[in-house]
Amino acid sequence: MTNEHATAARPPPTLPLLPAVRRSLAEAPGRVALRLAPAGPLTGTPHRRRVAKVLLQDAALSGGGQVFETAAGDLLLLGAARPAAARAAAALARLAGDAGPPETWHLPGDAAPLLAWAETASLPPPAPALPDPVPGLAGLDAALEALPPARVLRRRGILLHAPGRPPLLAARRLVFSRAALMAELGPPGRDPDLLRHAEDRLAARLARLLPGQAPGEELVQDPPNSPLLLPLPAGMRPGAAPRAGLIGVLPLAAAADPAALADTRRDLAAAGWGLALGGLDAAALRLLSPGALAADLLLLRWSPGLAGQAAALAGVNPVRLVLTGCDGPEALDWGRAQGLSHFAGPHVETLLAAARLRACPEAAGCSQRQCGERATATEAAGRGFCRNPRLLAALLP
Amino acid sequence: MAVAPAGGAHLQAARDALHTLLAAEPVGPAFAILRLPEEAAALLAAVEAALAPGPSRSPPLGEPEDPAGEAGFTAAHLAALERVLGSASLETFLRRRPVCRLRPGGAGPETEWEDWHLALPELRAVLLPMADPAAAPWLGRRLRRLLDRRLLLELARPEEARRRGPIGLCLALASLTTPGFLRFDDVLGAAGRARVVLGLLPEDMLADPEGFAFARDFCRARGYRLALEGVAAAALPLLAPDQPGLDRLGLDLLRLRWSPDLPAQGGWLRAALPAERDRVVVTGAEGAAAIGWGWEEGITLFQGSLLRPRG
Repeated sequence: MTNEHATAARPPPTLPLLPAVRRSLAEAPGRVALRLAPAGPLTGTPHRRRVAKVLLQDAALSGGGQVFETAAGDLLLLGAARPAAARAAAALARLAGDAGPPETWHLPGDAAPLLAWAETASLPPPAPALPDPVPGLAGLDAALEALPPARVLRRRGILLHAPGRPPLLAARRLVFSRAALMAELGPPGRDPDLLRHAEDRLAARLARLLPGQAPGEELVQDPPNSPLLLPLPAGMRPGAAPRAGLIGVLPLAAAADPAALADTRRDLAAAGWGLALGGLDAAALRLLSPGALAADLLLLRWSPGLAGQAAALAGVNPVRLVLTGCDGPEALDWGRAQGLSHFAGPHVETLLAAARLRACPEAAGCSQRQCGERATATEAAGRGFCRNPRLLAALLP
Repeated sequence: MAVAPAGGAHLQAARDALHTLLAAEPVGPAFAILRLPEEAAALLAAVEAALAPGPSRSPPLGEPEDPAGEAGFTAAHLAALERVLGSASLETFLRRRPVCRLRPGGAGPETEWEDWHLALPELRAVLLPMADPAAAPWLGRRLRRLLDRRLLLELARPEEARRRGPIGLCLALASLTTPGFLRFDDVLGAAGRARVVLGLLPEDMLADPEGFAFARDFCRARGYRLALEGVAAAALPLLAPDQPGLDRLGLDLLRLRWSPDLPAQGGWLRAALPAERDRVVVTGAEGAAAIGWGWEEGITLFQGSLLRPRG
């Protein structure tokens, strides 16, 4: 990063306003300029400024002309037709209250005062070109390497509820808690791409800590070889599955390159893994054909908007679908009506906790919420207060 | 390669002989019989592939070539790039590539618009030769947002905007609601916006379907033309499975990435392409085979280094 060409920084230039004003005078006789002075009632705060600017832009849209913000903080509508400018001036005057209407120049008659003002005005240097600098970005990878995955991983249940059979905990899923991860990462966690990067790096570490291999065993505590879904890092093939039942989850974006996805799926299958795609939701169903998604499982995120999208699922075998994010009985009802039988989400966690409490001889004094939180913890400390860890870990409550 | 009239015995004899010679080969057929002129594009593609053994697939816009060696990309790399890119002038890395209308028997390529982009591979080679954003896709996305901001900044200079003809931009979904884009939008004005094709990547669409729908509707309302950028043919059944596929996606254009194996795809691909072939652009059309195939499919919009517009 020492290349001289690259580091030869130039301060961004400011642009004079005068040429634009001259052009406007030449091009549009009979038009109007409106100016809001800096630090006025409509330019003093960013929020009011944006509102004022939108009003001026609307006038420019209907009446021609262009809106400028000067380096000093003026807002200028230049070259708009009179009716549109008058409407904007009236609206701004109403918003400004006692401060009265904006300064108005009728062109070309008022050209002299406009030009005199424009002589000294300049457009601000372009907005800073960076996504806002993120403190801690350079050290993000090191911080991720030092973060124990269990701190931000949660284990969730996947319920099998087929018609005519009692509900059954059919599989587990390891997911990253966005909230926990954001809390751990600080400022970089507020950037969506950096957050996904963090998940990706942690998924790569998780692949090295797989259940069946110490010390990853503590993450899951499931009966051996029960089905387990866990996030896969992009572009990395995990090694041979250390146990049966492992299913890697990739984001839906992986399907944009079907050839690469097919290669991944083949390699995973050869190594003993299944493949699931996450991120399918009501908005996605309006855009794509889920039947063409080449994966063993599709994770479909519940929202009431799915109700209008049932037809889009016609080409998909319901056995391949897991309805995630189920937050109430209506989610399960909708899913069952579509022939789905696998469900996950807060409502499922609640059902499972209730079932455990009913079955547990040690449950005196335990609340359903406590039981649910302990069941989702991947840190041993998070399960520590449970007096029946075998039931807590069991797939059959 | 042999050329013979259809129905003659020579080819059959040659094929039998090759079968005998290659019988021990465990892999698929070592040769193919192509009918001319119907399968001319497949023949051209095969010849071009044989003449140029290197990879002919061009990377999607804004993404680097695969590095020859093992190059990683860390958050520290990104932080260093952000520091430099925030202040350095990028004017010398601005590139444009014409998208041309080329008709069979026509007079020659005519530029419909120019795709503008910042040359990331060259920037990378200058700034950070050992780092490859493809190695960390999410960091690469943040870098793409930064490059979009710089590109929009360059293009939003009012005098530039007035001088330019129609342009195409491939932007990250997140870039379409940034202040930088709104400023660019403002400078363009309504007439300018109608002359801009905005390209969106399928991976962005799939990563955030709801955000895609929002940005798309906003951009359409502003008068831009929208394209789905860098689409692999294999993705068509997923993205545009029915004839009004593009309409369902709410897009105007499909930018299909050329690959030498397109001519061999046959009927399914023909059926999966938008019926209005005027809405298809073949990108990365670096050889005659791409143009030949496009013409066979009724496509007349191409982007590729082979195209040198008239005038």
